[in-house]
Amino acid sequence: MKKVFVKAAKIAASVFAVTFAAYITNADMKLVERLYDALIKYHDSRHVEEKL
Amino acid sequence: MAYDPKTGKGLGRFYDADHRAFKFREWKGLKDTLYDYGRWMYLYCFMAAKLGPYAPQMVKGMLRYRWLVPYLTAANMVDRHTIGQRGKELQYSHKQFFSVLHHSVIKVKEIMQRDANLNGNSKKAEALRNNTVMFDEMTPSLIMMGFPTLDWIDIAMMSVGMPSEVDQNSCVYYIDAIEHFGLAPDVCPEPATECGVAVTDDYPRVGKCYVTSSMPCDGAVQQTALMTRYLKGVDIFQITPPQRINEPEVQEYAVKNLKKAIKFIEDEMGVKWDWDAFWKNAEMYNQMAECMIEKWDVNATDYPQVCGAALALQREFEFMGAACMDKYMLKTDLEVTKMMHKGYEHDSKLGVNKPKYRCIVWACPAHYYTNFANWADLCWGVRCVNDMEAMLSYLPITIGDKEQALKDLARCYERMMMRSHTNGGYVNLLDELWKMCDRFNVNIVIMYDHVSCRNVGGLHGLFEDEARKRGIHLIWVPHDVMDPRTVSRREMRDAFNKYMINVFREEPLDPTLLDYEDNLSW
Repeated sequence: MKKVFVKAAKIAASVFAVTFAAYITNADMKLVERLYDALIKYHDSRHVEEKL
Repeated sequence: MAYDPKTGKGLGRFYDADHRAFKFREWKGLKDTLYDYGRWMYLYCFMAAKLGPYAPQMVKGMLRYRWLVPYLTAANMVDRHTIGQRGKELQYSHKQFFSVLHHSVIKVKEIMQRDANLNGNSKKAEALRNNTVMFDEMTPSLIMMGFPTLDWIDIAMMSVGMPSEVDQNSCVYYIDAIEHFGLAPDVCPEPATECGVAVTDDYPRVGKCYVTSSMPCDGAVQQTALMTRYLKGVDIFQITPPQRINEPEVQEYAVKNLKKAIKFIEDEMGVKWDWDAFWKNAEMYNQMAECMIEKWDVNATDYPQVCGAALALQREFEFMGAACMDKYMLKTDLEVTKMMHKGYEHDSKLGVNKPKYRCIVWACPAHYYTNFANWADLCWGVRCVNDMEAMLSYLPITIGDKEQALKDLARCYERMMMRSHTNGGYVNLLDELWKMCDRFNVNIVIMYDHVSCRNVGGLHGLFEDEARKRGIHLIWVPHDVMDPRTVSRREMRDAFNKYMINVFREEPLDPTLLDYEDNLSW
């Protein structure tokens, strides 16, 4: 039981460490920026005819 | 305060001229940083839980719709509006903004579930579409209070309104498209963008019929005409609230028009108006309006609590987008109101957190700079205690009296966003401002000077004359609503800086916020 608890605590601490590092360095938005730029580039490359 | 005079480090250091994202997130002290981190995690978990099951449609949607891409930056929107905030102010903002994002995520999910462009021949999606009414951005879906079995989606709010507030560059492509199509470039970018989305065929196909309104301005009139041509095969009803809203003679017409709208939805969707559901929803509307009034009452004191965009944007989406029928928004309203009273008691007892300057925001704001009031507070100590965008209809709907309730509902449409003030004529736009200055005890007005709006532009000189008579500082801040190329965020800040330096002879609280480049940022 104690082993399971220690393992769970280790996992929780690792998840916290990784997610907090991503949070404080704004890594999520930096990644989104790359994705955003790629998607906008893709949309710019599409030929869209303006019509009604 | 976030600025450290010893090190010279301030909030301006987070902006990066070469990137869209902030350089890093702010350390707000242990307690507030952990709170901010917790909310950040919660937002991502919520988005994953709601949109995860629709991952294939989301991927297809990102490739099909350009306006869907900015939704990826939701966490950045929260950061923009919470930067520099601490303690209860941070908590108010997080709760208010999360309720807006909560509603938007649910609506994006509903679009993914039923959009004909993303779901091909799915029978399930078709059945959902046949049970959905589409709305225009400037038409609150309050009328759906009496149709509990139907769904509704504000297609323009989701593809134009919300993205424009999340990402400053989201509308530029659509504005260029409609101007290339032939629309004059001096038209308000808001209806222009809506038309741009139409001519590039970028609206989701999510409903059976479409309800719009008649905003009395040139841009909105052409937008409605163009949408009518675009939505071929979809029946359209235009709710046309009277313009002279203060005159009792017009109310009979307003109710007649609403009855026709109800009949239209009944006929189109094959359902009947349900008074029991209406009373229940009207009760919810009244509770939300009551919470709004309580926020105003507290903000009229020396110790305002829920200020700036946290007050205005939440009310805008609650009323216009969610039609006051979102239970989560009501829950948030009740929680924030309780927290606010506690915060007020604390501040007034200790005599702390009195703003250096008090202001209200008037006229149509820049969608691409929703955190302008936050910046004014952080840079100059000018706190926005109310915003015209929050001053939507707040009078209660009478429960139990059918005719009176419809009159009250019509009044809600008459006092929806942009209609009652910017398009409401001299009395509602000009005279109302001085009443609000008295009510909220302010002598500064951040006067948004929307360069493409003829309605407000026509009263420019009168505003100046009347403000001078009353000793009120009108700080004109030019902008172009959804097109940051005409007037950038930096130029908006510059206009405000000049007034504070030259007229007030003030020193900025955070000099790093005086001038920085953020043209690229979301």
